[in-house]
Amino acid sequence: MRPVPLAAAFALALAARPALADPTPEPSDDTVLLQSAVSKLHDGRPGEAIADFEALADHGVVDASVSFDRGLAYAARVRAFGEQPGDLGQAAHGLLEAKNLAKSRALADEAARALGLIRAEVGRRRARAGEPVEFDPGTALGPAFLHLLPEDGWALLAIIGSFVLGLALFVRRAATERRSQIAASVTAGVAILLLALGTTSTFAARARRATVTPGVIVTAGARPTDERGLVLASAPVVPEAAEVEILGHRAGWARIRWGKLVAWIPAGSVRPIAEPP
Amino acid sequence: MSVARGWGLFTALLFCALLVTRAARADEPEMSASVDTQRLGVGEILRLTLHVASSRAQPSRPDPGSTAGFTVVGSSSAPTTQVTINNGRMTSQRGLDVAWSLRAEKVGAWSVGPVTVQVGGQSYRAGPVRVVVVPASQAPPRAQPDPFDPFGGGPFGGGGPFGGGGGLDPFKSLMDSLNGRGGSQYGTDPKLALDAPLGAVAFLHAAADVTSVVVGQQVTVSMYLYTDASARDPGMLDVHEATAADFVKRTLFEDDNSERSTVRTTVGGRVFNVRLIRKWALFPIKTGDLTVSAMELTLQKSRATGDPLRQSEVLTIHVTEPPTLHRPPGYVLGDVGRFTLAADVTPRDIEQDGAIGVTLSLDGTGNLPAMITPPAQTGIEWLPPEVHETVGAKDGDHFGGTRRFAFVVRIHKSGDVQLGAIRIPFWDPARAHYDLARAELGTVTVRPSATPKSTADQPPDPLVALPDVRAQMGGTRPAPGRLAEKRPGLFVLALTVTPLAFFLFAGVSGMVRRMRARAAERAASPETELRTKLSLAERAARDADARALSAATARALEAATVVYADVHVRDAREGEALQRLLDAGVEEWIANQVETLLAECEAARFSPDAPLLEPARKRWTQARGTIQALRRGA
Repeated sequence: MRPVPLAAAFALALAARPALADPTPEPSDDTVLLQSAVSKLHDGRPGEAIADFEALADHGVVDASVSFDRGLAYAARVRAFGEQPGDLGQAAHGLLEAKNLAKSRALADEAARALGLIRAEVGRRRARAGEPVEFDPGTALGPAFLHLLPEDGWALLAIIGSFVLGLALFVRRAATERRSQIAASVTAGVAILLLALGTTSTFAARARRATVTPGVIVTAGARPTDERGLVLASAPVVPEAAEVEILGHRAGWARIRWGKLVAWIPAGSVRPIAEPP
Repeated sequence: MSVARGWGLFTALLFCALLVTRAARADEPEMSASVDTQRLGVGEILRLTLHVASSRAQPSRPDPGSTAGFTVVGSSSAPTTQVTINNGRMTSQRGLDVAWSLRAEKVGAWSVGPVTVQVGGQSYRAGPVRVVVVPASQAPPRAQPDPFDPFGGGPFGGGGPFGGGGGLDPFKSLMDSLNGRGGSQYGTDPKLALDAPLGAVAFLHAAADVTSVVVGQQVTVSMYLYTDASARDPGMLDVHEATAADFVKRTLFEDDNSERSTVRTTVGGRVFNVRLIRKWALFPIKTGDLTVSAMELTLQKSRATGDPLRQSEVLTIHVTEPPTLHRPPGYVLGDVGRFTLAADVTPRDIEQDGAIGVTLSLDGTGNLPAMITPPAQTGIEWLPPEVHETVGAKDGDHFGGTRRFAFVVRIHKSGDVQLGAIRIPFWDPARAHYDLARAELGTVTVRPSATPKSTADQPPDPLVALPDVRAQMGGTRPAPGRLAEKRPGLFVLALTVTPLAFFLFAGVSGMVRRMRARAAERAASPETELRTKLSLAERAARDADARALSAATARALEAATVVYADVHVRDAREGEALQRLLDAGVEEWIANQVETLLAECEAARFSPDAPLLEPARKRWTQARGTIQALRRGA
């Protein structure tokens, strides 16, 4: 290689280095939009701020702070006498999403506290209207059991069960004393139970995650119907800001579970909660 | 109490009673029924029509009641819906128009009706009416209608005996077409030509201007009635409108009953009269492949018509969302068209806590938004608006017009208050991009209130304790580990490695044990012993040790009798070996040979002199032959 071009290239690289290593990156469109939304919210213009926050959601931005601010923007519109139907539900949705997405414990706690205030206000209004104020009707036994451990917790339990089972079998084989053999047999039995429980629960949790999406009611209540769209007279109205599980969709309708109630509601009444990417 | 006061009290009570009665009747349906004549001849058609409108429920199950003296020869019904927005309150009325054709059969004075209809589970009635049927020769002159046209004869505008009068016939234009009473402005339109008729004599044809749109974009659907120009006018018994449940349906005709001209076209080589009987603007409300059902009518059955049912095509419209790329903030799905927005704010100078009027005029074509979200601000209270609209066909086939939103806005803060701007983003399908209708509301000067409100007057703010917003993105926590999904191989391996290791170990050790046992078993078998003895004999033959060779030959023979004849001859005395072999079925000569060789080997082994090698080798050769013979015999 000729030395002169190499030196020139090296000099060019040196000259270009400061420009390439510029430590102040250009703010992205989404960052600008967020700053604009926050600024409008501080200026007391929640309606315009909501439009910006929703535009961020349309852009696919999944961020705990953005969800938190969006929830507060809807709440601010309620406080500014500009409430639109479903604003409290939208506020609850943003805050619940922030709680689920939050990286920091502080933000999650703050979102949970704010969510409590929003639900208290919805409850107060429903109580004034003589409607039931129950938001959480409890969970069915199966899902409640699966919630005892995270999905990987069940997987770990299954692996531990498997390991102990193998170990117990070795001991059982090698042991010569009767007492040791009995102890190993009992341990193997318990390990088989752990292995079966852990494996079953892991796959059940995985299937549930793939088919069930959490959501929040974002209209002033959702009246449950059957698959033909006929109102279930005996079922209570699912209140605004209530957390539900979305089990499926059909044209214009969403199948939800709320406590033990499984029913169809208009798809626009429920907004799914974003999951961490 | 004076007589005058008594009369006053009585009048007041009567007035109150009337008011109460009127209020109670406010919920009752409006109902009117009529007949086209009260005197007709035998064989003539009497038209009985019913119009019902209710704000409570959809009227249903109409019944003409008693029709003694008549025969019902046809009927047709059409549900109607009317929506009114007044002072921000939307009211809707659902109605039903029904017409029956009754053919007079017997002379006499007959009572027709009462007509009944069900509304919200309750039955309502109108009539009955007296109709006199005279012999055909004495019948008063009247326009002779088509006997199979239940809407013919013009009962829908004339005052009937029930006093209802103004009935509405949604199919009048259609019926007129079928009965040749439509407009007579004949032209020709090759665009309406079809390859083949969809039915004999008359048929319906539906056409949509586009088949792929976005949510909220107008689809113009036209419904044509084709009638064979050379055939007799067909009568019609029943009509059902097309339904479009997944669309907002607006008519583009000012009046569906108005006369429209007929054009001629050729279908399959025949000349047909074509009349446009319906034209709708449909606005899809969701995505997917949405359908517009068929419009149906039933012709009078005749040889020419064949199956009298006529159905238009079912239309399928593919509906998607407008693109998310460059979608402006605040865009509401369904806002599609071309809009302009104007605002009028008055007054511009008020006292604190006073109110101003903000009138927003949204003008344009397309799916005009039914609601405008005001720019909520702290200290500015927007009350629900009054909405007035003037919409219909505009610029040809486009649906549009003006919708006015009259807001009352209360301002609770003082100073120069910026009201902000109203922004309505919309998707313009003609130009395939998003656009914005925007109106600046400007500034209102708000003078401080002369009587400031005390804080006690303010309603408590239940959300005052909400935290402040975050100005920066904070990211999200990582998605929880999903070992079973992301690393299924590793998960299965972790689940199975220890038990598998055990079973592998147990299997291998068992296999080794079994192999060892088998080897040991093989080592102790007669066959193995025979092979050993044979090999020892061979070695002895090579080593030139006559005594050892004799011994090895004897051992080989003994082993061979065990293997091939299952006879032990080692401990046999003289002659005994022969007998045992014969008892075991060994051929005699072989048995003799064995006996002889064993005896010679014994003699050679225990001879005091050193045995000779050559006879020993010879015996060994003979012994091998004998062993072969034994094997063959076995």
